[in-house]
Amino acid sequence: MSQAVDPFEALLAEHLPRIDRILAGYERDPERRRDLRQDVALAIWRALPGFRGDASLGIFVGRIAQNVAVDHVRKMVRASPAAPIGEAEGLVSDIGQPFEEAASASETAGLQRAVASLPLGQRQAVILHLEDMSHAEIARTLGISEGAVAVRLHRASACLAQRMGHR
Amino acid sequence: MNTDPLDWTELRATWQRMVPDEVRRQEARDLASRVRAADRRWRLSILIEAGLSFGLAIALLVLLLLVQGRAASAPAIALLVVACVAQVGVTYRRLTLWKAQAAAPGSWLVTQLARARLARRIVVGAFGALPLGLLAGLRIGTELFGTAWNAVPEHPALVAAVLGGVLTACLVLAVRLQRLNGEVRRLGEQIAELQT
Repeated sequence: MSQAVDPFEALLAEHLPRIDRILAGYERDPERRRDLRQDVALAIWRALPGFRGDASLGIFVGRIAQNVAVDHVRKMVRASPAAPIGEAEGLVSDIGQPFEEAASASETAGLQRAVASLPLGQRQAVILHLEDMSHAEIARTLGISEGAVAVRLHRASACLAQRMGHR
Repeated sequence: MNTDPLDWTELRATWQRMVPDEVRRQEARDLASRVRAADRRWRLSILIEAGLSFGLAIALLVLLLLVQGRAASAPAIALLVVACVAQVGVTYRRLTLWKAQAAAPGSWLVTQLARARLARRIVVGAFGALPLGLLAGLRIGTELFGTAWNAVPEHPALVAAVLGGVLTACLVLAVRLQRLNGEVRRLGEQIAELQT
């Protein structure tokens, strides 16, 4: 007999990879990333009753994961004021467990390192763009204009191209 | 003209390969159950704290009504009024934090820190004001106690309930503050650890 699937579990089961990818863009330590994942899940659980369905669930989840991750980065930077917020590369880079297999692929690792080296504002826009969000969705998630998203992506594009050896 | 030096479609595919999209039921089940347990603990602790805080405010108000019109002096009444207002303020603050926390995804740790800071302020404030408040407190406290004591023959059950309620609430709040103080210490240690 098949058991009814809990909607919250189903939501998490479907969106965990997205949550993990977003968190991996901001935190390299697997233990902290696991804690962050629980914080994201808790935030989703609490925010779900207020979800009005004006965006897809994927975007809703992505937005929460992004907010939790950025809060985390800001706190880490505050705790270590020597590292400017835009250059907190130390907070990210190697994916480590449980993603070490994927990270060993040089292409993936290269992209991850390049994204990690971006200033925070650009990194936010790039990660959401890589998560297939439109400019309008990124703008709404970050609370900035679409023009500002385009500018951030344009600047990030140049940095990424340089760091990844594109011409 | 497209001047973007990057092929975003290719980058997106590379990014997705980092953690491929696949449904992870068992992991989601474990995570969901941990989240529910954490949420239940949080709601219960907030309810207890807000309830105690609100109860203490009511108890102070009842005490105020009890001593009002008796031989209590103006400073004693003023002290009670201030205590009532402060307690209502603390309760309101707790409820506001709770509401904000429920409404703002991702602010859990911030709220924890705010709670810890609030608790520390209360503790430090209480001890800071101790020498000054001790003399006035003794005088006013004796008077309040005397006034309340005089009311015992008329309302013994009410006075006993109020005193019992205040004492219990103070004890439980003291324990709670002690725990919050522990949280502050732990957070401090975590921050120090992160800084290294």
